[in-house]
Amino acid sequence: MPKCTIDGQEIEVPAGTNALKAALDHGIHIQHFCWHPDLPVDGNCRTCMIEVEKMPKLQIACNTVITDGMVIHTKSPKAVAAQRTALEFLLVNHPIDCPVCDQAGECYLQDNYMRYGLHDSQVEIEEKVRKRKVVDLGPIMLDAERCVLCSRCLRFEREVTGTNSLEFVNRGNQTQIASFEGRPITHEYAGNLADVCPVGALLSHDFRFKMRVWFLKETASVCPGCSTGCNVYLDHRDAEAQRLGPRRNAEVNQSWMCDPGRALCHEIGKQTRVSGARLKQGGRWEGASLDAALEAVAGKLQAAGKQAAFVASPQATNEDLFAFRRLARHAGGLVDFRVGDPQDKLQQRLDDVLQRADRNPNTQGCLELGLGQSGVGAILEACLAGQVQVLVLQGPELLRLAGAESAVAKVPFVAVLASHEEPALDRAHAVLPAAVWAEVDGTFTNYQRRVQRLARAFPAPGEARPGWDLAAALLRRLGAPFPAASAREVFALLAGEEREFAGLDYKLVGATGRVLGTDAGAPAAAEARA
Amino acid sequence: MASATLDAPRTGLDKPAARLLSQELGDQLLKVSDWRGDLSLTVARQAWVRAARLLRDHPELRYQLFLDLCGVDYLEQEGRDDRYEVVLHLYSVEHKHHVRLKAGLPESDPRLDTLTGLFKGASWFEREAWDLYGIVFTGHPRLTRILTHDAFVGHPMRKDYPTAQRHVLKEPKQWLLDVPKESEHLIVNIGPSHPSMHGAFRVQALMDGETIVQAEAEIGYMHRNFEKMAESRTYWQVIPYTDRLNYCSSFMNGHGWALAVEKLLGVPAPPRAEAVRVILSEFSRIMDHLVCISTNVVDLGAITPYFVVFRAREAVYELLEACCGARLTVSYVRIGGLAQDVPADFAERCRKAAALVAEVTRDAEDLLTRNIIFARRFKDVGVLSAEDALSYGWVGPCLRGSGVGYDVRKDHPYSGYEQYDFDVPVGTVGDCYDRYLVRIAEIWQSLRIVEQALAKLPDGPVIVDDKKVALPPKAEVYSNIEALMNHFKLVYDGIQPPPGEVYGYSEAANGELGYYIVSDGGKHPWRVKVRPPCYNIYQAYTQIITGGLIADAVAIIGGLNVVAGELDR
Repeated sequence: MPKCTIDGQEIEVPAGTNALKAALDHGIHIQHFCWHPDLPVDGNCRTCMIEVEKMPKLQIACNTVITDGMVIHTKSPKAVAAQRTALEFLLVNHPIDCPVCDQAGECYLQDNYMRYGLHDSQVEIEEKVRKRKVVDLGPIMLDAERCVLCSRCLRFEREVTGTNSLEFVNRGNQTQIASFEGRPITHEYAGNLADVCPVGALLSHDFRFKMRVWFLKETASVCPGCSTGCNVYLDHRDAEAQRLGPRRNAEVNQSWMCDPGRALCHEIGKQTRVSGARLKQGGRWEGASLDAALEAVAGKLQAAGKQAAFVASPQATNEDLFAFRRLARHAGGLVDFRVGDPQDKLQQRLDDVLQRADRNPNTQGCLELGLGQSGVGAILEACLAGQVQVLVLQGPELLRLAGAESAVAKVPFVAVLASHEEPALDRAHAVLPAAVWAEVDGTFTNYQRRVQRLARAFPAPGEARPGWDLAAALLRRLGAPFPAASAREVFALLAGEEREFAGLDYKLVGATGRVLGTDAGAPAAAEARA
Repeated sequence: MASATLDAPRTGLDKPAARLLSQELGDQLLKVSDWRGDLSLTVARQAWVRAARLLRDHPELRYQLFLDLCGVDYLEQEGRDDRYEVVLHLYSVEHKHHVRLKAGLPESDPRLDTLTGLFKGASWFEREAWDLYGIVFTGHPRLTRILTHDAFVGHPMRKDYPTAQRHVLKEPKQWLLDVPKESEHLIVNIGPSHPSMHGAFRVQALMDGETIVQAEAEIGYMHRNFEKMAESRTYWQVIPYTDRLNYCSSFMNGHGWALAVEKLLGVPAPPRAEAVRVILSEFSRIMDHLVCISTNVVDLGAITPYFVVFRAREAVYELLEACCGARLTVSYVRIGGLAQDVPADFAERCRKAAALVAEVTRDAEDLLTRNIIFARRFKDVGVLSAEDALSYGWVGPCLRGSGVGYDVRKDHPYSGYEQYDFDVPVGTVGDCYDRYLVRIAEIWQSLRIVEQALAKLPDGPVIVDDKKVALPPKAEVYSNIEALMNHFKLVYDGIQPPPGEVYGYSEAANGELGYYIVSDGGKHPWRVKVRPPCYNIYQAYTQIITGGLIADAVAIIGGLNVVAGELDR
């Protein structure tokens, strides 16, 4: 491993590391635009200038591979002057746009100006070259004037999706990016174009003008959209989810996520959320307090004895599943989760980038906890045969299942944990309000058997509570203790019972997750948001 | 959050306080730092009282003026073992030097010995640190809530306190005093809503005839926890909050805040800004003194002086209005200067206002100084000795009335006060009459300062030329991208000073107004503690009125100039 010195700090890096990454990894910031950790080096923006001893000319840090004994200065007068000049050039034709630009607040130009520029303007507003603005590229809006021509988007299109939708056109001062004949971006990874764009040239249609970013709080979480389990940031304000964006995890999703995943943030705060419990009495729904509803479900379970069946949900967290399993075991009924056979699609890819056919985040977790037991078919048969008095559903999957209606209708009492209203809920007799992934602490296990943490961004609406909490409340009413008051404590119980999870805790799971069956060690550090 | 550790050890061992403390305490003196001119000594908590006593009593030190004591919560700050810290600020009038004494307290046992045996002023400050941080002071005679109420749960200044939480007080506290059941004395509640109380605060007095035998004060009615709010604001967003401290002279609060942040940044304001600050501060002081005097005599039944002097207040308000558009809560100061330049006819307006001030001050003196009724109500009433005044932490006209000639403007000149020729009037007895005379004399001195400052008002910019501190001019913002980005970043990222701590102080109308700021390098202050002059002053009130007539209690309170905005924060 070559050793070098950057700004007097001795640094050892893996062979082949470039100076920019080496510096950033060790807390030394060098301004950059075109360099991106998950895209090939291009070296076109010329802003990451550094002085390397024994090299006569300044070098760009992103394309300078560290060699043994290299001595680098990022803040020498020569380097600083070059960095400032490069930035000043990028701004020559930049429009005076910040007040109407959605990037303001997370813009590389703004950030780097305060750190490296602080120069006065030398360009008159009339002299600026005008380019196309408000070009609608489908999910993306292009503003060519704001573009710094870093080519990150071009490289993303070339290297990640392989779609090559964007290209540079024209020459010199007039250079700009464009799609062929102005056609829209059609792939499902367009949101990443707005993410990689260091300035306001490419913006997400979905998020544009919704919220100024400096009002947002970010919570590190995991996308619940499929079994890939992309690491995400959930940006929210005043208990309202505003957008989802990728959180870098080199082992799972690098810096990317898909557009269907991003759209999930709009599901959280919908008007159709179930915020209170209700019970069906005489064929009509009556609102009930959560306590009364839990009491009713527990009463029915008590009366049903072993004539109960439980269907877990692969949408639930490991903590929810664990508590639900304990409830099922305590009652002693049939258990399964495989409504629609998600386990068969778990590994199946939908495309060459990220998406998987299993649209559940935690099918692997269900498998790890051994929830695939009786078989869904067996449960439905038992229902048809009138052997099930109470059916407890962790999610509404079974209610939606085509062909299961008659079996479910035979069950005298169906309780379901639901987060959103839907017609299928009408087949149940009790609805318990459940919190969704953004409102709970917990973990999902993705297709790689990687256990990853979700964090609670804001409280659930009304009386909605995490799934494990509802299961625990039922258990307590059935006279079985559940010694956990938080998701962290549930996870500790889980780790104590499941051999594969043994020794794990939230700290070890860390920011980037932990693959089951691998040696325990230090958790990977979280990466700063690009 | 910036991860840089706060308060890295720096130099300062050459200072007498550090040297003597190190001799006395050995390795119980944990850290010495001398940053931005603030000597800061960290001791082990076992040595807390010993260290404070040495600082107070050693002839080379004589840190007798108790300025401030507060808690700080360093929750999850890297490089720290102890979550809490108690910070004491003292001043040596004799040697003209400030000192800061600190002790770290672990989260598991936030406990420290009380200083109430050393300084009379420590009592309320320790109650406040307990109230807001849950720091227990062993040996404190009455460690109860002071700024929040009895139904409050938790300690609001703790970093993990959920700020949206609300606590409703259903039953007010009926008894402040412990009165035996068989007592035949009469209990009188003065305030919280009473014409002579100058704001919402309450004193409960035990009466023997017309004599007050025992008294206890209750404050906190106006508490809004300005300090907590400051922790989620950028440095300049704090300025409007400072206006609401002593709102009778709001300009000076902002001036003090700007000085403290400028000290933290190491960026002084340009000379023209400083001169304008001095002029407007002096006018604010005049206004504050006039209001204090005139409302004080209203309490005694003299309504004429009130009408006479309020003409001058109006003139000062008009002057402020001409400068910044606002009258009461001016928010005219900026970190590094002023919001904008003064109007072209500023000097003329000032002279006009000054002439009116001189006129009404003369009138007030004619009406009061040799007025026999006034003199009888004021002379030898409400006496506090110099020793007690220091122990309570009195400052400003009240301290000077008690014969201690400490004035920040003279002893630690800021904003160019060293250029101006003025005297510091000092009393001899420490009664209401002395405090009145000091205020009147200070008005004349302020007019002298204003005249000198106007005579050599420098030209030039009114805000520092530093793109990391001052907003760019609006014309630039609208016409080029560099200035626009500069503006944006400064507005939403604020000023980001280096990590560290400073105590910035200035002479406000009521005396030394201090801001203790802890910065972690981020856009919000980690901790802001205001040292509010009248908090210390009002603390002595119950002692002063005990043994006197109830009518005197009314005469005394006005002259202390207790302003609820500053008292309760």
